[in-house]
Amino acid sequence: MPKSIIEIVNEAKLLNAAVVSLPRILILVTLKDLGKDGATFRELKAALDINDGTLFANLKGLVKMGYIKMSMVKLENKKMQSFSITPEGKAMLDAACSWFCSLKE
Amino acid sequence: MGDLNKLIAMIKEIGFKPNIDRFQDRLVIQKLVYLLKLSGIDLGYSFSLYARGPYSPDLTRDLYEHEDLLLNLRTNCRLQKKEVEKLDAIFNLSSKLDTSMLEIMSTYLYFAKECNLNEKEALTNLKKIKPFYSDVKIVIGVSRAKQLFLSLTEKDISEIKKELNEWEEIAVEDQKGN
Repeated sequence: MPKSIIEIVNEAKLLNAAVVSLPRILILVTLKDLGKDGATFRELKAALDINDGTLFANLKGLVKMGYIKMSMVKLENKKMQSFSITPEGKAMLDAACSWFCSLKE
Repeated sequence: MGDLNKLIAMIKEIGFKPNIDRFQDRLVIQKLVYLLKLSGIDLGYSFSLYARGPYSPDLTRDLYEHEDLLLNLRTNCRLQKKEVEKLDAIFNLSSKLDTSMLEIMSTYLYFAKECNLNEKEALTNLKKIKPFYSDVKIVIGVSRAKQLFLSLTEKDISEIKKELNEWEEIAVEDQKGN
């Protein structure tokens, strides 16, 4: 039997609504398998094909919520910002994925 | 776990002393292992395309778990002559493990060899995922990737070398200008 709308809504309340936006989900998915290495701003911008402003605002939001962390790395004598996912970020991404999958049941 | 023993022997052979806490050193190892794999020296790591180009999460995990082995370059593996030759070719063509050369070469070859894209499509995809590299660097990196792995005739190699020299001269002029 399909889930009732009440169940779907109740389960959705367990998610952080601020994470369930396409750019934020994409950022978390992109960083998920990159572990401590993470990705630099320029790599994320190229891979996700989103503009600087949108990317910066969403990265800032995710850092503030503790789902990703920012560090400075040195590459070819240039300092760059690099972003990696935190355990909390992974857990929230898993929760969001499970919720989306549960909609199919 | 992949063949870390052989990886350490490879690193030792080219005189690279990695610090696993350094982002750039981990990147160099990732791209080196990938290029070795494409050239037939499989150290047991699988690679997929990520935002960082071809990348193996398992390799990163091993690097952190066995940081002490890498720091001391402890290994009992002896490399075969053929392996050393392939390693030297990658080392020299990547301008002694220059990170941008390694990134361009490995990403281009991922599209060309693993996705079976033609040269034009592979180049388009490379530029899409690595738009921050200058056209000069892209041309040099792609030429070197071709020189390393794709079947080329003597004539092709001589033409690439000629083109490469011209682009390298432009790059030098470019850097002087900056």
